[in-house]
Parts: sequence; structure tokens; C-alpha cells
Amino acid sequence: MQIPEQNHSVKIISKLINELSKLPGIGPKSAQRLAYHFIKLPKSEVLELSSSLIELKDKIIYCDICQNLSDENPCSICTNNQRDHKLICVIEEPLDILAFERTGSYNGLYHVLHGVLSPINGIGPNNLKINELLNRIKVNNIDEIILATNPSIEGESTAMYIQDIIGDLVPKITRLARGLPVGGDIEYADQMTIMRALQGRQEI
Amino acid sequence: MVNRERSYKTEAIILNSKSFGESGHIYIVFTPNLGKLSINANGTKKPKSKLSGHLQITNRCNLVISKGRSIDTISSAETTELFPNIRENYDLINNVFYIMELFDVFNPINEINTDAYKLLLESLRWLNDNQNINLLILYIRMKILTMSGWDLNFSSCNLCFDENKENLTSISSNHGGAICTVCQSKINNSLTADAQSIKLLHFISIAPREKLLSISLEIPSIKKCLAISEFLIHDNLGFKLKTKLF
Ligand SMILES: [Zn+2]
Ligand SMILES: [Zn+2]
Repeated sequence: MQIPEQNHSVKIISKLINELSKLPGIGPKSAQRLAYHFIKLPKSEVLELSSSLIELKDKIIYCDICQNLSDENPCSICTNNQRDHKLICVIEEPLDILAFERTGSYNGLYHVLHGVLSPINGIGPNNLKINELLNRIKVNNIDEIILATNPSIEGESTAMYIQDIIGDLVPKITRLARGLPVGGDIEYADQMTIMRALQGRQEI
Repeated sequence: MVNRERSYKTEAIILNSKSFGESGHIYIVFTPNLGKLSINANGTKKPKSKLSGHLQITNRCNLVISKGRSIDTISSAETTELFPNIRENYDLINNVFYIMELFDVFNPINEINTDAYKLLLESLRWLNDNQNINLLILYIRMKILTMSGWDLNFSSCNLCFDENKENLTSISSNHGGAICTVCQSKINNSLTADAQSIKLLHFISIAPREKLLSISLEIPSIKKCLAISEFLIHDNLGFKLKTKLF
């Protein structure tokens, strides 16, 4: 049976809309707008966009050791002998590495989880790079693991989960201090932040 | 003329959040008088955000929300009640995720359900006390089913109308309640259930919390009821929840 031309093309558009609406921050409305925008674009521009997407997928790889994005494997951080290879900072996303590197005061390695446990959004331990972390700890001599997930309820449950499964394998597990942000105003701080800041107070 | 109602105030409990745009989040919140809302807040990923600490999942807050063309935006938030014990305990966090998902899927956007809001608040306080958690889950499931119009017949087989209680050995919410042994083999979605558990489930769905806590329930009968109630929830929704318990 022959599919009418129009239905066929609509199917292609709806497929594209469906793909676009999976992108972060893009709702069904914006996806529709983008799809019709692509239809109007000259073919050369669409080709340029699609080839740069494919190049991204071909050349950017995950470091087998730390799971960070890189163009070489292992990445430049994991192969750097000036860094402390017995210290691993566990973070949610690749961008978090940039935040730590900007400080210039961390000299250990990283492990990127690529997300946090979020059962309500369908993300469980197997969707994260937790097994990779476990294997890494088993074959290397690690002194300390820093759990640097965000202080959200998902970040905290992820840290608790990891602590539970690696607890017997590492001599020291730490969690980033949680409290008032530098430059923040106590007047505006929420109760949880103030409670945590009180718990983590230090003698001076 | 100036539109005087550019913003509105409401009390809310934060059910879920997802990152949105450059540095913000979309929040699913449940309110007593406006139902479930999907609203956003800007800059909540930044450490100095005045909102993000207040907008943590489970927090009860007072919100000021500005109306927008496609989505409304939170302009101020203040926590009025928080449940700190839940955040310190992995099991409680898992349970709270389950509870949040239940309230999310059973309450469509903008459908007002003040009783469900009260139930959510009561449940968070109960969970924060970390007592009788299995009973709490059972209680929430049955109350939510009741609120969504759970009205099943358990006095006779809903297919052949056999009234002999001895023969009633399974339930199906699609078929209206109890099913006899003979009919059970003819339908797809049913669950074997004993009469005593069904009676207990009925009691839980109507009893207030205090009455429920005053009677002593044995763990095996709670476990049995948990399995049946889980089946009823799935049967009612037609899909499985993402959050897994136990
Ligand atoms: Zn690496
Ligand atoms: Zn029957």
C-alpha cells in the first residue's frame, strides 16, 4: 500500500519534533518552532549543523577512568602524574570539574557520575557511573573519596547510597561542607542551610 | 487598564524539580487551594540563590508567583515547615520519593484537592517521625485510592454475582472488586487476595490515622496488604510507578 505523500512528510516532522523536545529546556512548543525553522533553512546550513553534531559524537569520548568528557582516553587529568592519584572527588556532571579546577586548590582526580539518583524521574544506580567508581576503587589504592554531589535531596541520597556501597573499601570518605555561601546573607538563608551551618561550625 | 493580578500567593509543598534553562528549575508543587502547579524559578542553581534553599523537595513554603505567558515564575519563597529527618536517612528519602510520585501521578495539574494536600502534609510529618513506615505507605495508598473514587464491591463476585464469601479469592479493580475462583481464570488482571486482608484494607481506607495507630497490626498482615495495595495502585493507574519501594 502506498502512503500518501503528505502523511509521510508529517511523520518526518513529528519525528523531528519528538527528538527536539527531548533536549533540555525545549518544550513541545519550542520543538515545533525549531522544526519548522529547519524546514525553512537552506540545506547547507542544516548540513553544517548536522555535521558538527556528528563530529561532536565522533571525537568527544568518555575517559575510561574518570568518565569525564575528553578528546583523549585516558583524559589529561587522569594521566597527570603531578596530581594525587589516591584522592578522588565524586561529582555529578562534567561541568562540575571546571568549577573545582577554577579554584586551583584541588589536586586530586575526579569521578563523574553523569547525574544523581532520582527515582521519581526514573534514574536509578544503573543509570549512573557508580559501578565504574566501585571497580576503580577496587583496583586502585585510594586514600580518600570526596562525595561532592549537590546538597539537594537527590544529591544527598546519591552520596548516602555511594557511601553505603564503598564504605568498607576506602579508609576515608568525606562530604563537602554544607553551609552559608560566601557573600550570602544570613537573613535570607533558609532554615536547612542555617541548621547545617550550625552543625558544621568550627572553632577559631 | 492595569492588570492588578499579575502575581498571586499560595502555600505549597515541593513535589519534584527538574533543571530548566540556563540556571533555573521547573518545580512541581502541590497547593491546598490551587491543586498541583508546574512553575519555574530562575537562578536556582546558583549558590547565592535566595530561592533554592526554600524550594527543596518536601519543603512546605509560602510562595509568591508571577503570572507568565507560558509558565508562571516563583518570585519569592519562604519555608514554613521542613522535614529534616527525612533528608538524613536513605530509606526515608526513598519513601519520600515514592510518596511524591504517588501524589504527582494521582493529581492532575490545576485540579484542586484540599484533602489530598492535607494527606500529603500529614504523611510528611509521619515520615519525618520515622515510625511505622510500612503502615504509612499503606495508609497513603488506600486514602489516595479512596480520594480518586475507589469504590469496590467485596461482598459478591463482580462477574457472576456469586455471594458465597468462601469462593471470593481474588480482586480486580477493573472489574469492580472481588472475583470468585471460577471467574478468576477468565480474566487477565487479578490478584489472589484473602478476605481478611481485604477487610483490613477497607478499614485503613476509612480510618483516621490515630485510630489506625491505636490498633496493633501484625507485620505479616501489613506485608500482605502492602502487596495488594500496590497491585490496586498499578491497576488503577494502568502503569507502574518509577519509584521502587523495598
Ligand atoms: Zn579521566
Ligand atoms: Zn464469579
